Amino acid sequence: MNDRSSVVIDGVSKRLGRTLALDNVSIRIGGGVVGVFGPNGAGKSTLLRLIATVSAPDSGCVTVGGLDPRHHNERVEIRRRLGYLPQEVDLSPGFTVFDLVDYVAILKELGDRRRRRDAVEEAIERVGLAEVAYRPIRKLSGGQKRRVGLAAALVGAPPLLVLDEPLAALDPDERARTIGVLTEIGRTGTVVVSTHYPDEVAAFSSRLAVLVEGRLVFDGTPNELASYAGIAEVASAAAGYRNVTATKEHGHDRRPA
Amino acid sequence: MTPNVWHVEDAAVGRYVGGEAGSVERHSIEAHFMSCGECRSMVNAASLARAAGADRWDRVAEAIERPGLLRRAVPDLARLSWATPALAATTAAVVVALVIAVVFGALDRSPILFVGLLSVAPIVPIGLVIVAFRPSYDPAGSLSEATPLAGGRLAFVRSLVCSGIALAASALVCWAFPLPSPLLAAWLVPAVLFAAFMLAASTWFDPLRVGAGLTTGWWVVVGSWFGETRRLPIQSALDRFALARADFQVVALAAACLAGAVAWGRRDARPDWRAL
Repeated sequence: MNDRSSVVIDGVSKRLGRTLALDNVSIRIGGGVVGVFGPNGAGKSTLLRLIATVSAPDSGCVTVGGLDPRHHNERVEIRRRLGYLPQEVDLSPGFTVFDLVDYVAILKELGDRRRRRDAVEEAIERVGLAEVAYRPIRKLSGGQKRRVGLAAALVGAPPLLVLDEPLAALDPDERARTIGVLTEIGRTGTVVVSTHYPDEVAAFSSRLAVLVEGRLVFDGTPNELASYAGIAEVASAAAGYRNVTATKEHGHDRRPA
Repeated sequence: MTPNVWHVEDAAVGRYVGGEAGSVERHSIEAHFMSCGECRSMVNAASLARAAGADRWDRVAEAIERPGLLRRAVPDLARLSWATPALAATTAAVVVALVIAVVFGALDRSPILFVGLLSVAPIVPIGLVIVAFRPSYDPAGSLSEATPLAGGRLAFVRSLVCSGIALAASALVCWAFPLPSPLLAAWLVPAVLFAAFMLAASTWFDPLRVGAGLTTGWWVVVGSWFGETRRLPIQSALDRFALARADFQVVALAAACLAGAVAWGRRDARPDWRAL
């Protein structure tokens, strides 16, 4: 377990309006690439926002590297170790790719200009945008804009990456490159990735967590998920049917320890 | 059961703990652990030492790489503020408006211009703080949310830089085109007070609502003063304006310091800044 980037989520619940987005979720994440899978509205983005310290749980607690984000000094310390890619990224269209990532690098306290420039160039290079580094964001495709967001999350080489749908809107080549980058980072740090599609994340994740209607219904390796007795119910839930309750009633539910 | 007559070598323990052992060696070591508590203890101790060592070097690297206090507190102030197009445009617009108002006020000392200046100038920082606190105006959008400077710190930096620029530019022009000093203080002092109050109150409430309330209140004060004194010469009218008096200004500046301290103390009070 990487101590600086380990995440412990303990009995967390979060309500968004009248909807219970997360219901008593507990999970420990300690290194490697962890995929969070589930249908729309399952609570994936809410869970990732809690890990990224962007919002606070109504009950339970989240700690990152032993730090509690409810205390502002510890929250800031967590953010120094964190790269976060939200589901929706609204970038200023007049900025160039370099300026935008550089701006985020300033927000990440990369104060030294030379070091910051190197870090920004490295992040842009890693996501394959070096050729358009000085192009305005308004002239980029959807996939390229998504990769700008990924570069901003990567800048400064944080040991913990929290990425909400990082492969969305990417073409096959871009996906392959991104998966390579995340796999590489997962060897030394922690990468938490949310997705609608378990197959794409299962290929490079060491672990998968499945959320359905705010509850954690599976936590294990991709192989375990493939042989999971309730896989049909998980797949149905992914398709929008959300009928996993039958599985639980018949005692096949694999709850995390 | 036959007691163990061999133990795992130190080098093999190192490879095992470091994840560098091949599958045959790993299985052999793990099979040996089943019957040898001594080796299990040795590997546990090695794992703990390795984790502690790695953590120690992480802490050293972190201490070396982290910028100093000044660099952390003031990281590329201008860049952070002027990178926000809405904030840059607002600041530029209010500076130009204030300069024009002050120049006209100095050249043509009509009461209407003075009242206009008094009505608008002090609420300039209010508008800047509102813009500075709006996450939707950030050029990186929601990407900036989980950065160390996000939230109160960023809003503070922007508010202070932009309000400071607007006030400094206006004060400079006031000095170049002399206004009656009571009038100058009558708008500069409430401007500072409102800026500090806005920063403090915005850690609890929506800055837009706070700003609307302050602006309305200020216009009521200026309007009632103008209603009572519109037939008097400007100097006499100013003498009857509370904030043009030294004692009120001292109280207002003390209140501004208090509000500033509260604002700084609560700069990270809201974990969910997007709710603003």
